[in-house]
Formats: sequence, structure tokens, C-alpha cells
Amino acid sequence: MDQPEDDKERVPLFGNWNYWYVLVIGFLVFCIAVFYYLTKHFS
Amino acid sequence: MSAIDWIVLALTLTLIIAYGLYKGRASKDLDGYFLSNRQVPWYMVLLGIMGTQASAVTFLSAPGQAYTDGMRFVQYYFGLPLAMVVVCISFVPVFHRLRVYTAYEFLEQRFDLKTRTLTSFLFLLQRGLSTGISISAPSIILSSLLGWDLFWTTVVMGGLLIIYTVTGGAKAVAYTQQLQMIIIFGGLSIAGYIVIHRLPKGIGWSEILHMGGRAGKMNIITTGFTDKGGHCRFDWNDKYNLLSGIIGGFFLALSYFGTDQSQVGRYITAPSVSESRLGLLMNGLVKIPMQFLILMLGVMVFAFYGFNKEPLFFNQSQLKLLEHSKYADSLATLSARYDAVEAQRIVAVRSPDSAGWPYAIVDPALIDSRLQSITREKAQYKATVRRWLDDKAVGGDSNDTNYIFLRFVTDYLPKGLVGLLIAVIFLAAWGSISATLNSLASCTICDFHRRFSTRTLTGRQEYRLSQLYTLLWGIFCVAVAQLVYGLGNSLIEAVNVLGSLFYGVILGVFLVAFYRRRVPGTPVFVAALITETGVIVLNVLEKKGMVSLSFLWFNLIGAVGVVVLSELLRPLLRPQKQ
Repeated sequence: MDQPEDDKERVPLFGNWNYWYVLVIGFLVFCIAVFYYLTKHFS
Repeated sequence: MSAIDWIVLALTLTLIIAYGLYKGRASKDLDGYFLSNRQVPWYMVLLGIMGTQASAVTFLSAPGQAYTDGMRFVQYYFGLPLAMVVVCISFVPVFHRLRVYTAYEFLEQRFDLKTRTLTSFLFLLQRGLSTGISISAPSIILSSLLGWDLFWTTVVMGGLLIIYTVTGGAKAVAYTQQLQMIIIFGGLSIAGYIVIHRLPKGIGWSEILHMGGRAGKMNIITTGFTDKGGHCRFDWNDKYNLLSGIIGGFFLALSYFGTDQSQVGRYITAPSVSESRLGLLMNGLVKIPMQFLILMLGVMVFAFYGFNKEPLFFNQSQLKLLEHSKYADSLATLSARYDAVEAQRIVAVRSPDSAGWPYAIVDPALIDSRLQSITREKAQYKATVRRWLDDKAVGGDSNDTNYIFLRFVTDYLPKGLVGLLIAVIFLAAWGSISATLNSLASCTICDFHRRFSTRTLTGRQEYRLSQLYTLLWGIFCVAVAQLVYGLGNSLIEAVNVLGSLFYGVILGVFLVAFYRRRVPGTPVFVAALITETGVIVLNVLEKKGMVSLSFLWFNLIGAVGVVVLSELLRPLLRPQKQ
């Protein structure tokens, strides 16, 4: 992905937007895992 | 409602209008009116996109959905975080770089005028109609439950917000959405606290979750696969499961956040790509937990009714309909029996001498046979009422899902809080509708009026015209709401289906624009027309029972259809050399 223009902008918290994308997708996987546990545990 | 509730409701709604008018002062040109001069910070972008997505139906329907069908509805949002990432990577930088007013403006630069006009028209068509339905659905529920006049409920639901939306444009929408979301979350948190507070002593989170689990409400993750005669098959008609949530939900969210002007219009108001991205990514982080908690409210209400008298039917107006039908006498007898059975059940479940109480409620193996037979009898009475309502001679609505939460609110919340929760419903509707009106007006003026008019207007004239279009769209949506109310609860489903009919195709056009750079305008335009026709035909076949397919899949079919067809048509429809 080439976005030279917006790469110049400051990325909050992390140095790279890719870390943000990994965080969002990782959180989704975490949510699914927790929900799966709750489903199994309480059904 | 009590006088205190009326005062709380009136004060809350007045506060929002006054706040919108106060904060909505912006420069009197298109940049100020539709883009807030691109000065909206990321956290307001976040609250804006959340407030636009969460309509009144979200807060009315979701707890009821968990109460009846379980929490699996949360899977509908699993594709959203993935879509946020794609929107941030591909869509946001382009919209900012081109400094567009509408998402469709980009399509003219990438393809041609006719493709821009077609997609903008599809957006106006589906958004104009679905906003009318979005106004109508909560109005029907409130008027049925509280006995309010439907005409005036609809006018307040869809009309009062016009005051600040017309006056202040995108800036008023952004600021009011911020305050609305705070009041909404505050109101729902208080409601959740009261449910817990009113449960019997000894019943806490663990018992609530176990009760929900035993009753099948904790079905948060479902695969969609069913075992039919020893063969494991995927149910394509199953609306909410892991696969349809991730794949169908992804395409729906990508289309909604990437190509729907009501959302694009929120995040292009940020001053930079970074601020837009941060708002969208935060939405990807908070949306699923938020939806989970709203659904959990439904499970909590379910646990509450495990220890308290559950209404025979949550929508009281439908029982009144039966009282004036051939079932009037039967209903009177059945209601008396139901009340007696419920009284027995409550005594049994609340009795401290029940074996292992409160765990008798948690574990059915501990419940004595008497309580089991009472529960079965109760279920039969409820099923009988639904059957009567389904009778064509009665013409009732046997689905009371959307009435469950509000019925709990009106029956059990203290004075003042009922008014606040009713205000929450209005504010949720206003946040969503005001953003939509703003986007409908921006498309009308930028994609049609300004593009096709031969007369050049000054910035001030365009601003005035934008206000006029916002007003006209507001009147149109309220008029649609007044016309469609005879459809009953199917309205809510209609909003989702209507969106899915068009979203996939619009997304397909944008996907080709971003990722298939060799494809010119005409093949995309023709592919969009063919695919849109195909999706509509598919929907008709589905309604007739000839095809078994959940509406979420229309998004995928529409998007993939446009991408594939435009590639196939590319060699046939080459642009003529000048």
C-alpha cells in the first residue's frame, strides 16, 4: 500500500499505522475467543 | 407516563435542539455547512460515526433480540473492524487528497459523470426511503406502547431535529451526536443497574449468565452449520453466524463506511487523514463490546422476568386488537389462567425452600416437576396468543421482540427515568437521521444541482440552497414515515434488506475504482446496472421462497458481481478513440 502523502502525518501512539491495524484485528480475534469461551461455558 | 417523565423528556429534547443551534454556527458556505470547515477532532468523528450507525431501532430491538433469540446477533458486527482497516488504508486518503464533498465525487474523477450520477442516485433512493422507515419504526413502537398519537410521534421523531440540522449543518450534527451518545450510554447504564438491583438477593452476574445459558440466550458464537441426516450443511438462510458475520458483515460494513455518504460525510470533516483514521479505528475497537453490552441488557431483562411476572404479550396494543376480535372471550379466559400460572411460578422460584434456590433456576435438573409443568403451560399460552394474532381475520403482529425492553422500562423503572429512556430512543433516532439528512442534501447539491445547473451560484447562495435541500429531505422522510406505517414490525427488517439491495453494487463500483485501475467507466456502469437488476430479482425469488438466502449475502453478491462483470465487459466496451 503506497500512501506517501499520509505517511508524513504523525501516527498517534505507534510509529506506524500497520500496528494500529494489527491491534484492531487482534482485538477482534480476542473478542471472538472470549465469546466462544462464554458460549461454551454457559450453554 | 408521569408528569416528571414528561418534564425529563421535554427538557432533554429541548437541550439537544438548543445545543445544536448554539454549536452549529459555522461559516455560511458549503465547506462550513457540509464539512464543518474540516475541524472536527477524532473523538467527535468516532461519536459521529457511532451515532449515525446506531438508530433508535438499535436500542429498541437489540435487547429484545437477545431476550428471544439470544446474543448471536453480535456476530453481525464481526466484519466491521476488518472493514475499518480497509477503509483507513484505501478510502480515507483518497477522499482527503481529493478534498471531496461526497464519496461519489471521486467516481467522476476516476470513471465518468454517469457512474457518479448512478451511484449517487442509488444512495439517495435507498437512504431517502430507509430513513423514512427508520423514523416510522420507533414511532410505531412508542405510540403502541404509550398510547401516543402516531402522527405526532412521527413528527417529533423525524421533524424536530430538522430545526438544528437545517440551521447548523454538519457542525450541529457532530456536536449534538456527541451529547446524544453521552445521554444514551448514561441512560442505558442506569437501566442496566436497575435490572441488577431489582433481582432477588443472591442473584448476581453468574446466575444471570447461567440462566441465560440454560435458556439458549448465550449463543454468542454460532457456526451456521446444521446436522441434517448425518450430513453437516451450512445454512445460507441463517442470518447471524460466524461466517455470515465476518464475510457478509465485512462487505456490508465496508460498503456502509466506505461508500455511504451519511458515514463518509462524518469522517471527511476531520482536519487530517490521521484524525479520520483514528476515529474509524476506535470505532472498530469499541463497536463489538458496545453491541455485546446492549445485547447483555436483554439477557439481564430475561433473568429479571425469571423472577417477576412476564407479560402474556409485550405489545399491549396487539392484545387490545384481540379483545375486539372473535378471540375476545377466549383471550379473557386464557389471560386469567396465564396470570394464575405466572403467580404460581413466581412463588415457586422465589421460595427459599425450593431445592438449592436460587440454583434451581440456574440448573433445570434441580427444578421440581411442578415448576417444569408450570413453565410448559405458560409457554403454551404465549404460543396460543401468537397463533391468534397470526390469524388473517385478526391481522395482528405476532412478533413483540421490539417491545420487550421498552415494556420493562415503562413497567419497572422509577419516575423520571422512564422519561430519560424514552428520550434516549428519540436521541438515537435524531443522531442517525440528522446525519443522513445532511448527507442527502450534500449529494443533492454537489452531485446533481451544482453538477447539472448552468447557473453559477455564490457561496452564500449554495449555503442557502443546501439548507433548503436539507429541509425538503426532512419533509420527504417524515412523509415516507407517515405513509409506510401500515407495514408493522416488518419495517425494521425492511431497512436492513433495502440497504443490502444497493450497498453491494455501490461497493463493487468503489472496489473497481480502487483496485482495478485498468477498468474504465462504461463497463463499470453497465456491470452496476446488470448486477443491481440481478440482486433485486434474487430478492424477489427469496421472498417467493424459490431461493433460500439471507439478505446479508446480497452485499457480497452485489460487490463481487460488479467487479467480475466489469472485468468481463472491459474488452467489449472499450472507450472509443477520439
